[in-house]
This record gives sequence, structure tokens and C-alpha cells, in this order.
Amino acid sequence: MYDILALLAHGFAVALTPVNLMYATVGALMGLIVGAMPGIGSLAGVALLLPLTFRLEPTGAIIMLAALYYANMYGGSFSAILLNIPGDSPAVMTAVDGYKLTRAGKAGKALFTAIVASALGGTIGIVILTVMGPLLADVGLRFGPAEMAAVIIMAFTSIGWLLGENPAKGGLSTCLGLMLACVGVDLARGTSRFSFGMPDLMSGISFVPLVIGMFGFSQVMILLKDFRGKGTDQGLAALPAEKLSIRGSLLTGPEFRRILPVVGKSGLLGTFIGVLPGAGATMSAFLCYILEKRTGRNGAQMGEGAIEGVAAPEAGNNAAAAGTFAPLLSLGIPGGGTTAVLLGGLMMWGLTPGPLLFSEKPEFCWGLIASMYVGNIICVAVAIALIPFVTNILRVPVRIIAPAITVVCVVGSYSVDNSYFDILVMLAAGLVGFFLTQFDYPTAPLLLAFVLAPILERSANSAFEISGGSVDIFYQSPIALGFLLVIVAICVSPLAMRAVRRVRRAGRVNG
Amino acid sequence: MRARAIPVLIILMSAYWFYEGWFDYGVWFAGAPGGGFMPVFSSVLAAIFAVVMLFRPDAVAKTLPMSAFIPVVMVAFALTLSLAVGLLPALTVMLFAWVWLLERYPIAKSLFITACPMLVVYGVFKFWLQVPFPNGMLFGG
Repeated sequence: MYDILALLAHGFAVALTPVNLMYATVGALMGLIVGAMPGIGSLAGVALLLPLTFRLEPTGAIIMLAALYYANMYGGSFSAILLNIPGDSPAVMTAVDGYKLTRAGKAGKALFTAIVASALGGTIGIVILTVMGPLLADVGLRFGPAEMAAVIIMAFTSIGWLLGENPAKGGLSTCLGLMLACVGVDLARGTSRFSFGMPDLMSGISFVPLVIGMFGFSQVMILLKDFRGKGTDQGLAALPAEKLSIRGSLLTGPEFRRILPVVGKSGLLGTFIGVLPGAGATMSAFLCYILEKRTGRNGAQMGEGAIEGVAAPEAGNNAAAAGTFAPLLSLGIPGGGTTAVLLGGLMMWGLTPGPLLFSEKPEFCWGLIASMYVGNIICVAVAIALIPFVTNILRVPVRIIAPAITVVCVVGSYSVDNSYFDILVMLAAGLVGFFLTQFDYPTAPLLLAFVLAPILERSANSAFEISGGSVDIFYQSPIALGFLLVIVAICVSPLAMRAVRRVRRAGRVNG
Repeated sequence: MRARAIPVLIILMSAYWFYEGWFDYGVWFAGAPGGGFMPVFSSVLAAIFAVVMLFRPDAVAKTLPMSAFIPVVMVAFALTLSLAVGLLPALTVMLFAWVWLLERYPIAKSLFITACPMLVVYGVFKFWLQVPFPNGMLFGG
């Protein structure tokens, strides 16, 4: 332990020099701007900004990259909270409660919650990574295809019951997401499914245009439905000036005490999920939201605009962002797309992550970990300073903001693959999202099912291939069996609770 | 629009997904799930939920105002125009037409309102991130 602290102290001495602090600040600012742009996302954001570090010396470059990576995560939540357009898939769950808080005039509060939860969740992840990185990587490797399939099915089972008032509507939305995810290359045989002879559909429906349409474009339609023709210059939310200031956005003592346990739980769960190969920040945000909704004191208010609904996914996805570094540094395995780009960046400076990296290049490993602490703190400072500027967007009348968001939706969708087809996908998703919202179908389960379905299909295929087509593989693994039992409990508990309530009521009537 | 339209459409979609999954892609293939496994699995579940929704008593009809569909029409207009002048100029024209003609802002204010977001779009997407936007037939694209 003493060795770790000494090495970490050395890492801090390097990360805290004025030049490196400047690199971290520039990285944080750029990352926030790019992360908030719909259609860019953390993977493309880091990839686009990687060339900025080419001319720097390795330590400065690594510090800038760490700040970029974290700031991208922060930026995604800005557009989700203010405009209901998640910058990237991990911010989908943040939009559910964050945008409702914005419409209720609490945008600053929602942003501040997101920033604080991201910083604390990220710090929990980094502390765990510091103390037990190699051990965590080993645990992550115990998650095979059967365990991964079981955990995703558990997530799907929960989401239908948790979002919205009607479980059948949540279930229907989830299944629609699963069906849409079937479009594209079949992972079993490599042939194209449901592409209707259209080359653009051969590789499947792009996620980013889908999310921009389903959340952002449909929101423009809803705004015009609600506000147009009423002759007002009202903005997205009626906010007094003090609510747009940093002071008006600060969390009160009771509010801070409300989110603290949420951040603790989500930070721990998020770090663990981040370690799992292929799981990443999206699944983490999703499962942390579910955990809080199920077990949290204010779980019933989540989905209606509760700060816990912002804190849980934000702490979870930032903790996962730290967790993904455990297999990357210890085993050389990137946990997701963004860490794969970071791996490329590290290798560019002649550093090959793997089992020997901690012993052969301790100064690099601990310098990187220290730079993650520093990057996280810089991100918080930059993000908080931006709150008064970004929340001003809410003062802009809907008559102006609606056409402007439409332009951003079109440009964001096009930018993903430089394709007109993606704009059409965004339009179609917008219409579907609008009709679903009008009839009270939750859209978040659809998007999450869409993101996780390929991982489920790949895991299920691999599990059955390993077992020769037998379902025993799901019962023989204690981890998978544990998840299956939770799935059964989730399905049976509402029915059992209802039966118990009926028996009690009947007992009261008779007694 | 009637609330039952959504479950009905999903039942029809499920039927197609099930048919293709079962007969074209194959549910089981050489001791492992085939390409049709996921379509069949998801479509059966979707159909069950859709049938449940079809018979729920809370299904009510809703009238949706035409103003909600203005963005769809405007984007369709911009996409058509973009074939001639390119995507970003077409979006600029769309934005100006929307603000000036539909929202009835004065012309000078409309120009200013159009310029602000378009400057951000040009600055970030075109010049900084260097997204290759199409130029349209008139500008050699």
C-alpha cells in the first residue's frame, strides 16, 4: 500500500505542473464541447481529438487524453438535460429525469447534480482502480458469454417494470428495440437481415440518428404541438435569473445528502460493470438507474424528474469509464470502443498495456492514474463555470429554439457516417418517438434494448456454441444462475405482491 | 389517432419478423442459435405485449395538431433543396424560411436568428471537425 501511495504521489507531482494543468484544462474544454454535440459521442470525440495530442510530449498528451475522455462523458449529459438530446448512449438514462427537471425550471440543479455525481462516481472508480486494478481485471475475465447474456436479460426484464406507469408499454417498447436491432448483419451466419435490399440497412440502423430522432427531433415536434400558435415568446422553461447562476444551481445540504448514497452505490456498481469486457458505460448507466429505482428511498419519483435519476446514471457511467482502464492497463484488453482508441494513443508513444506494464513502466501507469484524478477535478471546474452560459439556452423562445434544434438534429445525424440515409433514419425515429410519447410509451427502453441487443445475441450465440446447444451452461455457472434467479424474482415479485395484498384485503373484509 | 393503432402496427411488424426469422433465417443452426433466433424471440414477446395493450380499457383516441409536423415538412424541404445547393446552405435557407415565414419574425431579426446557429454549425462541424458535407449539383458536389 505504501508503495502505491509513493508511486501515486510521484504521478501527482508530474500531473500538477502548470503546463500539464493547462493541457488538462484545454482537454476538458474541448471534450465538453464535443461531448455535448449530438452525433459525435465519446468514441468519435476522443478519436477526433486524439490528433490534438500528437505534437505534445507523452506525459502531457496522456493527461490531455484523460481529461478529454472524462469531459466527453460530462458533455453528453449537458445536451441530454437541456435539450433532451443525449450526446451519446450513456446519457440516455440521464435525459429521462434530467429533461423533466429542465422543464420544471431546475436545469441548473440538474446540471450541477450531473457534474457532482460524475465527479464523485469517477473518483470512486479511480480509487478502486488505484487499489485493486489487476484484481478487478481478473474478476472481469470470469464473466463469460453465459454470464453476460444473463445480466443483459436481467436488465431487459427490469426496465419494462421500471419506466412508465404501465409495464406492458415498457415491455412493448423494449421488444420494439430488440426487433429494430435485428436489422443488419446476422451474427450467426454473417448474412443480412431485414435490409429490404437497401445497402444502407445492410450494416444495421445507426444508433446515433435513432437516438437523435427518438429524443431530440420528437421533442421539437412536441414543443411545436404544445407552444405554437399561443403567441408567446416562452422558452423551454420559465427561469428567474438567479436560477441560471452558479449559486442558483448549487445543491442544498438535504439535496446533497439525497444523492450521496446514490453516488456511492452507483460508483461501486459502475466500476465493476466497466471492468466487464464489452459492457461499458451505457450498461452501467442503465443498471445503476435500475438499482436506484428499485432500492432507493426516492425510487418512486424517478422518471418524473428526480435528482436521483440524474445522479445514478451519471455516477455509474463515469465510474465505468474508470473501470474500463483496469483490463486495459492490466491485461491490454480495451473494455469498449473509446478505450480501444485510447489504447491506440498509448501505443503511439511506445507503451504497450498488458500484465507487465505495472511492473515495467510504473511511472507511466501511476502518472496516468494521477492524471485521471486531476482531469476529473479540472472537468468539474470547467463544467461548473459553463453552467450559467449553457443554461441561457433555456431563455431562447421555443419559436427560435425549435428550428435551431432541428438543424442540429440533421447535422448531428449526417455527421455520424456522412450519410443522407442517417437523416432519414432520424426523421423516421422522430416520428415513431413522437407517436410513442403521445400515447405514453416510454422510449428509453427501446433505445437501451437496441444498444444491448447485439451484445445479448453475441453472448447467447457464444454460450450455446460452447455448450453444444445445451441450456445447462446457464445453470452450471454460479454467476449466471444468480442472475437467472434475480430474473425469476423480478417477474414473480409483482404478481406475488398483488396476491399478498388481495389476501390481506380479503382477510380485513372477513375479519 | 386511435391508441390501438400502435399495438396493431407492432403485431403486423411482429408477424413479419416472426415469418422471416422462422422460415428464412432459421431459429436453430448446427447446435446454436441461427439468424432467426433473435427476430423470433423478440417478435413473440412483442406480439404478447401488443395483444395485452390492444385489450386495455384505457386506450383513448388523440387529436394531434398539424403544427407538430412542421419540422418533418421543413427537413424534407431542406433535403430536397440540398441536392441542388448542398446540405448546409439548404439548412440555412430552411432555418431562415421557418423563422421569417412561419414564425413571422422581422427580416433583420430572422437573418440574425439564422446566422447564430449556422455559425456554430459551420464552425464546429465543417471547419473544426471537418465533416465532409455534400455541396449539391450547383456547386459541383
